[in-house]
Amino acid sequence: MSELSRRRFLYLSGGAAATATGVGVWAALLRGESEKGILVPSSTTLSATSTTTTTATATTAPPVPPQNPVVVIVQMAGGNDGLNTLVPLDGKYHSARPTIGLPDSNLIPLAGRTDFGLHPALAPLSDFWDNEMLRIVAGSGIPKQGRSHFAATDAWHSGYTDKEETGWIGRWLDATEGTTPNPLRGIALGGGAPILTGKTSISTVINSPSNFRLATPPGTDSESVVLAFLNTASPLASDPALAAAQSAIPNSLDAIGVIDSAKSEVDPDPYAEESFTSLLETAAELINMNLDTRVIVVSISGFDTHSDQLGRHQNLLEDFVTGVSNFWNRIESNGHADRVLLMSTSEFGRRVAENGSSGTDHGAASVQFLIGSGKGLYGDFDLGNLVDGDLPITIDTRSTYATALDWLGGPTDEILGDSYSRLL
Amino acid sequence: MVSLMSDQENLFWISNRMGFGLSPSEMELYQNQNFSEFLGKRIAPEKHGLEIPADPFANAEDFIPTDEDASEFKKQERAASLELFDLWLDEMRDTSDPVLEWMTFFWHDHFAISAREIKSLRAFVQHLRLLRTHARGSYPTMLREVTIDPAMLIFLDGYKNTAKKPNENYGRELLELYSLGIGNYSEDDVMAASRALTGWRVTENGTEFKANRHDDTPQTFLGSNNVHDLDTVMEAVVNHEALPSFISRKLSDAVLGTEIPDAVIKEFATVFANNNLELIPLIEAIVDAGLSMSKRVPIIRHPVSWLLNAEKVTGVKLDVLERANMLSQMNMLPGRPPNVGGFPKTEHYLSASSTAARFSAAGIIVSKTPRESVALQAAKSANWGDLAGICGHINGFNQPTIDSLQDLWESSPSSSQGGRVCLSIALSSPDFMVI
Repeated sequence: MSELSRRRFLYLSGGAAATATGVGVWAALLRGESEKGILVPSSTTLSATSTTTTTATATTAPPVPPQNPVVVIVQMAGGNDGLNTLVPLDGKYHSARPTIGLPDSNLIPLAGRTDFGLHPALAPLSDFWDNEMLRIVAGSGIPKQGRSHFAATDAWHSGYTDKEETGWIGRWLDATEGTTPNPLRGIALGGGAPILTGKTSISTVINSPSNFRLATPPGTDSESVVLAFLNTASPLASDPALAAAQSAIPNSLDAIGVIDSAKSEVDPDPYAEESFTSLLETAAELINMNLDTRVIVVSISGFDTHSDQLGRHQNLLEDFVTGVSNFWNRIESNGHADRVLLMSTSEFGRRVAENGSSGTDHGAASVQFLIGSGKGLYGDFDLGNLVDGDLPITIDTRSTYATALDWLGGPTDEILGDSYSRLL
Repeated sequence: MVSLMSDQENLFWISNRMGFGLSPSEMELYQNQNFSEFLGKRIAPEKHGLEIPADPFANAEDFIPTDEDASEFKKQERAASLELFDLWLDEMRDTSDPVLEWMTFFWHDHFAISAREIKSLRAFVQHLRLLRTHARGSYPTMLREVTIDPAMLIFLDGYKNTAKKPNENYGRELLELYSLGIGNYSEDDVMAASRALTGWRVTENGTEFKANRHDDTPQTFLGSNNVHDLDTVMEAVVNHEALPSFISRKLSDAVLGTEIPDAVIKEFATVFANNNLELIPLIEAIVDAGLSMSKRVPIIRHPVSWLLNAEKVTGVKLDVLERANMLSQMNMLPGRPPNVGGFPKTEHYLSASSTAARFSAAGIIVSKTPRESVALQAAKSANWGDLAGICGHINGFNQPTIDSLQDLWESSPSSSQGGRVCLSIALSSPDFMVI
């Protein structure tokens, strides 16, 4: 049985009596463990009955994880150019980038630091810095991640450079899942997230929250049609592909009940992509709903700037910072900011020297941001010791993972297979 | 080919695995034919003297706007792109040569150029024609032509790749995604390929080679010396021992699923290599292996396959926007692969979103299903065996699906309404997602 179907199989067949966790209504109904009356899981029912589980206490690591911690991961897909994001005030930088180098005078200063400035689009981040809520990691990478999008992405998702089919968050979900599986503990918005792939736990992928709904043919009894759809899912077939297709149904129905009230407005344009900002707005709503969601993954793509980088990168970073600031305002006004850690990732940085197309080719080490409690600038961009024209890794990315896993309550070292230093 | 399955099962198998399913009338047309003969014609119609259907994009130039300064240009271009993909989907659904369209779509996922990224519909149409021309021809010829195809030169920055400062975007994907796969080349090879491929530009009418932008320095590339231009790069790539296995694995995964052992892939690769990397012998070998398996292993179908088969089963013709909506929510809009690696992999087609989108799409399809549709007739009379057969499951639906259909039918106020909702459940059922 493939890994996927095994996970889904375990999800459906596993679990003792369903408790009133407020989620998994459809799945519980399928197991005959819920009252027949609840057919459509409305969000009111869900939030009213929701309880939260207690996570394990961390063995290491200040800051002490809060109650019900949440990690939000923002994947900057395509390979974000770290050097033009966090810019070193160093002549070597300017000589490597005669056309796309950012002038020192335009950079956003970081109070207390004379060695780096931020890309001008990132001005809103200086507030986080001043408020002791921004950690910046310069030179982050996973040894031997390579310059291929796919190999490097796999390495960042799994936390290993050898073939590992689970994501580091997926392994955490596996290690901490309760007796009643809750596929909403890990949610990816805007597209699939291999980072959430576990062996036993399952998570939920929503491409477009605003289009995520069920429509039944006009003039029909919606509830009975939805119930008929659900009933095709059980009992599970022995064939893995069929079983996987069956298991997807209760998962989808449960997620719809929840997302329905968390999503931003409907955009009827089929070609319009959900903006990064609106995906993060949905994330903020999900956190507000207390569904025991622990990890939310949101992607922003387009960072593969082989050409005409200046304008493109500016727009991307503007989208990034607008989405993040808006998200943070929302969770702050809802009183959840203290339990959220937001972390950015990107599969690699880019070559130090620009190419002939006013862009940059695939590189190695890059930058990560951690927003939440804590301040500091870790690592360095070591322009004097390039490796094949790339920035060397000065901080193992898994240190940032360890920091996030501690925030979630661990067991950190077990999940990462080793003990990595934390960003304290 | 020795198959333990019935001809009818085999007919559905090939039609689903290298096509977009069968309509009831196609089923009737084909089921009394000798299967081996049918199969031969299906894979290689030209060899059997059959005519290849005309290019579905033949009239594309008439509706693709060219005046970029026109105030409505963007709007016109969006409409044209929808129109274009709709024509293609129509062709996939209705063609007499489904293997050709299936293979063209397969290569679209392989080379994965996004029409949105390249911002030129004209170049994109030309690219689709190129894929279609070589879809089951010679892989080396297709790869060479794709390398200097305007759409690809734009997509992976080849047109900006110059002697002075090479851009390695294409050089890397050529090796990683289009020919050898990771682990079979070095970073130096990426750089060498990029240098040797400098100097190609996109012009009004296609592509041109500018010697003054080209770096003709002999490079060492994949172990060969004196690699310095398109021809020598291609020669080294297509003669590399990793290519036959890499392409065989990719095609086999799409047809047979991903569980096929490396030893079997190696056999496919040998056939492929021994036939000068011509695709028809490779297709034949893969299909033959699939038909000879003692036990069929079902695979999850992709959204385009699901949607077109649902249209075929019901006889519904959806309109442009309905299709675009459905496919974008199911994560597989033709012309818009999300990244250079192609459309998302199988498990995303079972994501919470895709599953919900499939259910909703089935509801729209049945509300448009014509009264005389045989699928609707079967559903109205609660004839689940016939309905399953029309849906390609000649041994019947899975028991939970049958029970669920029966319950729904019994609780419906009329057989007419019961027929429609039951048809929608059949189309959105897990059964119809596996082929």
